[in-house]
Amino acid sequence: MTPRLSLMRRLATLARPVMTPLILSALCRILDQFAGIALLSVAAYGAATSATNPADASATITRTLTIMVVLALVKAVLRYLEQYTGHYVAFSALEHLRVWAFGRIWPQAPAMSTSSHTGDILSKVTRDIDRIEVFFAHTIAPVTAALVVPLSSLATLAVWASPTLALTALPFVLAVTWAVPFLGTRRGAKTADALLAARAQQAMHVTETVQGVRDIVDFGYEHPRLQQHAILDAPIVTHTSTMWRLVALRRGASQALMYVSLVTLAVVGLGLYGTGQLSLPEVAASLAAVFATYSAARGLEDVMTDLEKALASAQRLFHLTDAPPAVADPPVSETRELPAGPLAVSFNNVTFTYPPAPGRPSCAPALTGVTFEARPGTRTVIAGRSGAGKSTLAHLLLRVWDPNAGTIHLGGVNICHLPLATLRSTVALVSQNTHLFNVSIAENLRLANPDATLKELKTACGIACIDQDIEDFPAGYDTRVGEFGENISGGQRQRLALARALLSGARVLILDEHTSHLDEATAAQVRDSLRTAFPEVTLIEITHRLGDAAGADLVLHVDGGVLQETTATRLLTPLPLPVPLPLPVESGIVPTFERESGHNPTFVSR
Amino acid sequence: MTAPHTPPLYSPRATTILRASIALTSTAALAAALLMVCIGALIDAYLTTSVIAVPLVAVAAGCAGLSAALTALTIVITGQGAAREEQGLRATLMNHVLRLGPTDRSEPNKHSDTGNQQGTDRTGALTSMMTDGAERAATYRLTFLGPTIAAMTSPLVVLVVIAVSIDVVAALILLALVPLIPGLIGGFRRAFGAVSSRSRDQRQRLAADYLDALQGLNTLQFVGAAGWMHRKLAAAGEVNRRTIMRLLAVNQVVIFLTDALFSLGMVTVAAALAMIRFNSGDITAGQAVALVLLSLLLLEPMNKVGEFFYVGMGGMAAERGMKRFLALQPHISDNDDASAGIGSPGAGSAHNGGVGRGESAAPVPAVNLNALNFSYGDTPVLSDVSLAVQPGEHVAITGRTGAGKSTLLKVLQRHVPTDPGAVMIHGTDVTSMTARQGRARTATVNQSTFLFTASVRDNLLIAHPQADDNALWKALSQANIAADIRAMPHGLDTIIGERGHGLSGGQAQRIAIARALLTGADILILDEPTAHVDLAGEQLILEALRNIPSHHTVLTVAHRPTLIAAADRVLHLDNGTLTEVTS
Repeated sequence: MTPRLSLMRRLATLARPVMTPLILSALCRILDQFAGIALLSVAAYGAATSATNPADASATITRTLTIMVVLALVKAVLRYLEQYTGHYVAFSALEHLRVWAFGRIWPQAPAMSTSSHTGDILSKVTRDIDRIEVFFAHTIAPVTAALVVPLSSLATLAVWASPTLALTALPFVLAVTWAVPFLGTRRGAKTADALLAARAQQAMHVTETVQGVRDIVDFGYEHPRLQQHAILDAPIVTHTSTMWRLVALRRGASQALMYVSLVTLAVVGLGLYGTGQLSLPEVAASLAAVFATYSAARGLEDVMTDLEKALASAQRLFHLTDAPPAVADPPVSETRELPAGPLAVSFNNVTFTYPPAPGRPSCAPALTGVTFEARPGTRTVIAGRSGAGKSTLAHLLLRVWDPNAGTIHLGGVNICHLPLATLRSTVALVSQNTHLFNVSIAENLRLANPDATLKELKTACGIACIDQDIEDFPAGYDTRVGEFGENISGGQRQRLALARALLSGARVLILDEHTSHLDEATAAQVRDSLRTAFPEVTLIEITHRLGDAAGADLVLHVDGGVLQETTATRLLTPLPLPVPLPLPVESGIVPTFERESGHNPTFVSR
Repeated sequence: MTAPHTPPLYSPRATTILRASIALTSTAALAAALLMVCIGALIDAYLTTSVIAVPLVAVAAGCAGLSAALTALTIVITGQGAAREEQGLRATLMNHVLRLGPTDRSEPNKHSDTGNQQGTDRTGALTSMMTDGAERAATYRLTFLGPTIAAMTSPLVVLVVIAVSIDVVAALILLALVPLIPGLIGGFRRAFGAVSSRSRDQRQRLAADYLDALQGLNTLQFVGAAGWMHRKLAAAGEVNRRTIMRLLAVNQVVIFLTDALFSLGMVTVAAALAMIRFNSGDITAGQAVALVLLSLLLLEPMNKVGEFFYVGMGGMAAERGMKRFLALQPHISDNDDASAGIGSPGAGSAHNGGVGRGESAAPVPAVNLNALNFSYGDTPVLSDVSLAVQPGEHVAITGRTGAGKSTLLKVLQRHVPTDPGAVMIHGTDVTSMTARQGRARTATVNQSTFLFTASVRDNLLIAHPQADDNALWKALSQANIAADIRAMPHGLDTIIGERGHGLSGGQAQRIAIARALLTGADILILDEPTAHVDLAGEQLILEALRNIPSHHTVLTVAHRPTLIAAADRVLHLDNGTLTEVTS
């Protein structure tokens, strides 16, 4: 129980913003149930009174009915209030949790997103939160009422009618309130966990079927794929059925206890009537009161299954949200300011190994002893084949991870002393796999600068040589980008990413393979207009095209995580043409001319 | 709203379970009512004899046990049924997703007829419908609907018991009030329909926005917009919440009315009848008490009203969304086109036979387009495109973005419909085949490859489920990726990830080539296979393409000179018109 209790305590902490309506909801529920018990008891008492005292019948009827009408109206108002406050708690808690979870997840990116499945995350943040919402909205009030109402009701019975009768009812009421809900709890918890895991796996599979529908259809793979889904569904069917069987067990037990207790109370009550300890109206009212009490007593049983699901969900969600971000802001005392003007970028003996992750065992260092300085406002080209560690350099400069050894300085300030927001607004990365959101092109561009005017957007797009493409779209800048940018080609996506980076006002621009989709002329045009428009920006180009190194202020060559300074001329010095021999993949990579493309030498593996 | 081809949501078994649950729940109510009558009789017997009537106690206890057992049984049956129907729903929906294919999702702008497409067609919304939605709907239909209907009818059972064993007059008076119950619930339902579907639309859109944000987290972080997106989603959620709360404040008044009317109409009236009928000497004291206790059983419908929000509202909204989705029809329905093209007077009808094509003097082209026209609505995309590609030939098609290249490929992949006779594959009109058969004639390598989160082997078997490891390795080495796979920790069993994480773009493309070769189709369609790959990766892909056995006909859409250079013949597509490029 201890981990469950601590989970509940944590959930209760999260519930603080909805505490007031929650208490109100529970209070209304308790009063509503008291009113319900009173209503039936008054009715039974009245009925029995008129039976035992026919002389005063019409007065009894009038009195009884008047009290009942008042009680009925009060009860209806209480019920409305309980439902409304309950829903208020439900929807507020849902929103609050969702926002909270997203807020806990995003700081873990980008480091985390390579190791988790998007479908799994989705399942966690939406479905699990739905379930936890149940905990707040439909668990706390019924449990509180179940705790308060039955015992108060029996206590009243003991004082007003007979302790014997109250004691007779007590074991039944206690069993329904506190024992029945815990029938099969252990099994329930285990099944709930297994069910959630099975559902998460199914959700991931469903997501991939939707995303990969083109391949499935093209290859006629529909039937096997559907079969895989059926296999994943089997445990869901089993576990769901088990959950329902537990519900059936509890419901059956509580119904049996309730009805048997009524019969028992009738027998005991009549005995007390026979010995003159109780009047007939008192016996009738007691029966009615106990009968009505059960609707409150069963509160816990009704929510038990939901509670199990909610706790299992909470555990998974917390596991996700509790992971610490790979990097954090510096403490205020260590925060430094960046100098004005163009900024230098320097790496001092930087070594970095990717942390191990599920499916990615610990591996060799990605970078070893990297040292270089890109002077303010210059253009640096980092060349090397794919996988050599070029993009890792960019990610370290943006503090996706921190290096294992060595330091990185920006404008003379160690980047560990800069707030992440400052660092990432100062250094912009134009990468190969920029995500375009399913909103308009203008909105995608404004992510970097929400206040940018349309004119500014157009200027930036002009520099990135994408303005004409956008104007050609039917809706221009208001064209919606499809999911995963389906409506936009790879080259357009890359130029949009550049335009977005230009809008951010960054002083250091990292272009990661940004020419790979551009022809030579356009690439040169982009480079020229970029330099003219932003003469003070420190440019770092990451490329595998050796031709891009021409005219650079600093040329670096990365291979196997080791960086060496070189020159464009040296890079471009032709080596003998490669002999097309089928060498193993691990063979060395040397700069060569690529025969087919003819005009731009590149790194190729032989 | 329901189109003729819409498959049913539930299996026939669901109806059986629904009926059984109504019968069982009503019987449980009958047993409970008899129990109350027994208690009344017990009181009367004691008043006259001063002795507890043991047989009555025994009958009462029997009724108690029976009622409880039937209630439990109902839950077991309906719960299990719900689990199975959820599975069935998911299969039906999944099947429909696959039937619709990719076209409907990738061209939201071209379908102006469905305004709400934007929100509903996205991965997040579809996924949530097939997981969460299926669960909600099945739970509603199986575990909720039957017992709820029974709750509406069980008051009648109770009234019959009252009429038979207590008092006909009281039963008739209460009966007059009973129509109020379904009337109120019906009104409640109508009042809530709109809120329910509106709130579902909002919820689904919000879920899709969260998915988009999660998938773009890296970008959001680099642009420094994650906090902004966080606030934006929070604001959208808050608007959503306020709207729902405003709607609820009004709609929940029904709760007040229902509760008040039940308390007054059932409990209070029953109490009044008990007192009045006793005074007039028509019922006994025990019967009067029993009548009051029985009135609590008449409240059963009201107790269901509360649950209506959590199960009913969500379930009905989910069902409506599913019906709307299942009513969407694919561009090419297998039923339509298998019959459409047979015997059509297509331009290429001379090749219709296709028998003994190996021997015929003029070889039958592998792909033959005869004056192919295609338009999206009023926008012509391809006009009068004719092309004959001979078996074993390698043809490249160039053209700028929007020239119609992707549409041409969609025609060949049978994702969009064409006129009979316009597209012939190995001499057979594609409209005379089912879409499936048509697709099996070609294999495609797209610009970027979606790899399922599964082993390398499972990703390859998509193309040819019966292939053995030898066949896989052969295809892998032809595709120039075998060495890479051997170097992986678990070889063919290595799990490759979502959207090809863990593999370079070039490796994913070469796996796609291996997959295409595995299909056994001798027409390969390459849609700019090197578009998203660096030049080093391109080199390896080009080598793979050179390894393609010569009997394969290859149709390449290409931008890059390297890819074009590999073709026997180059054609240029401009504004929907195809022209030969003389080299």
